[in-house]
Amino acid sequence: MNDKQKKILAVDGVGKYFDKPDKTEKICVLDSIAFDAEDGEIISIVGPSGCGKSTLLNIIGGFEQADQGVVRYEDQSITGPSSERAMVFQSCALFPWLTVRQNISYGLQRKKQNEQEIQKQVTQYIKLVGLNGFDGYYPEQLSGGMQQRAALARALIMRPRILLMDEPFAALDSQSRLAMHRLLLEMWQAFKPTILFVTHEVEEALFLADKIVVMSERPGRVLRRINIPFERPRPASLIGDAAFLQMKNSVQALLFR
Amino acid sequence: MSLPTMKKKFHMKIDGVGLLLPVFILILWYVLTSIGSTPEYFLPSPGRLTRVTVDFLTGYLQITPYAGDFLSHSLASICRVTGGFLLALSVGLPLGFLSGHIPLFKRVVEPSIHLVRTVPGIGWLPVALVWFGVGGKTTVFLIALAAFFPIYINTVQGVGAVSPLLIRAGRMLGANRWGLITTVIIPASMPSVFAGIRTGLGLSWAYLVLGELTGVSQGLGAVMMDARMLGHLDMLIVCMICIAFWGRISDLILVYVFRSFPMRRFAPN
Ligand SMILES: Nc1ncnc2c1ncn2[C@@H]1O[C@H](COP(=O)(O)OP(=O)(O)OP(=O)(O)O)[C@@H](O)[C@H]1O
Ligand SMILES: [Mg+2]
Repeated sequence: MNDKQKKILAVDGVGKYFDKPDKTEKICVLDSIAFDAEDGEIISIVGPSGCGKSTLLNIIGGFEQADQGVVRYEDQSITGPSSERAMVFQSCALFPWLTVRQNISYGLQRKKQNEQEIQKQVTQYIKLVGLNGFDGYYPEQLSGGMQQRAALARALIMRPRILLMDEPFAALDSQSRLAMHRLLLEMWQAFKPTILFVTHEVEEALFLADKIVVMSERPGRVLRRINIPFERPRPASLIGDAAFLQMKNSVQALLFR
Repeated sequence: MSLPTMKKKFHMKIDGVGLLLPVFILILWYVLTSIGSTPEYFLPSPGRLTRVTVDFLTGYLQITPYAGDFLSHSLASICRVTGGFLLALSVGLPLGFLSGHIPLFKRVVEPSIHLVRTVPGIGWLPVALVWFGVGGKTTVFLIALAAFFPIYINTVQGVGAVSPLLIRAGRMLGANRWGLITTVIIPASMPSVFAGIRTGLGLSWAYLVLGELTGVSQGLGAVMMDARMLGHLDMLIVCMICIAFWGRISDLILVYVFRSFPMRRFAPN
């Protein structure tokens, strides 16, 4: 892992406040969040529900503004969303009026590329995520796992430098989740995007990531950043190894203090 | 087009149970009129009505003064409905879009629009008569006014309720402001907008009758008014049937048009 020296993303002292519904006072959701991501790294972010994980991803994605601190992408502070930082939303957010093929084409079409060229690429990505034959299906006609595949393809086809994933597989059964892990790691091997992966599942976080960021309850702070040493490619049996279990226990101890 | 595909295309469903009540009423009607307990001028028999309808359509029997005039009167009415409805569309859709999309715009226009809306459509009739005179223009005005509100309100609702998540997805995938409007906001608000347009068209036919009753020479409402004065109840009822017929046809055409849109997934079932 020698080519992972370049810092691509720097989260530096990020704080975020939200109005209470009655607007009488503000509550602190994120408090001095700081971590770096190196190019091509997979980072998992774990933390209790409501600790601000989605908010953090939204700030990195450029959908929301930090109230304190900055997020720098390639040494530039983030001003808005970009397809270089593509998000796979928890609920897919596929366009329900477009077919799978149209959903995946959407991003490239915004770039006004040659339509034939686009469709060729789309075909390739549809195959890549294993949705061959489902081109003409509408999102509502797909299973949850297939929707996630389509959402993944829609993001990946933009060739993002950073892939932001907000509990993308939370709604899947364990079988499909394992399949999605394999798919995600294959994609990562092929394109080497930097991945920020938010999850509730410590096991999932450890299995996928090079580094995990453990967050505290609201207001979300970084409790610990842990490097994960396991060699890639990681076999599915890794989750039964003693070293893995030990790590899982220590992270869980941090979370459920 | 074969019948099944036509049924599918226009989404017609025929439920046998639903036919029971109309058939029962038809029989009752037939019995009442044939035993002579109700005079023809008070309640025409089904047979008489059928003959008058055929006469109105074809002019073959010459039993009423309106023989064979179906098409010319229908055409006059259809033109007014189309005119008023298109007017309502051309004002309601853009205004509704702006209100739904720009909160400040909504705050400016919405109170006034709701104020105007509190006056029932019929309440506008006398003013309209002063402004536009008796006849066609008044009718078009009433139709446009009545159809405007559902179109406007549903458009505001639809545009305002587009999921922020979908907007984020669009922005992330590189859509600019205009791109967001055309590729996310408009298709996402389609179901609601369509519901409004459909309601508006239905109201157009209702207000057509109101407008035409004030006195025009051509149009189904005009025939109704005339027939009432001459005591042709049969003709009056035939006109009601004709209006229902055209109302349904126009609704089917509307649904058909919406189904052929690229975002047809959102057309009504
Ligand atoms: N737009 C908003 N306005 C006010 N409060 C908000 C808003 N968005 C989020 N919050 C608050 O911020 C906190 C963090 O929300 P966030 O969605 O980031 O949590 P999360 O860590 O992603 O939780 P989960 O794991 O359940 O998805 C919550 O307490 C939530 O109520
Ligand atoms: Mg969340």
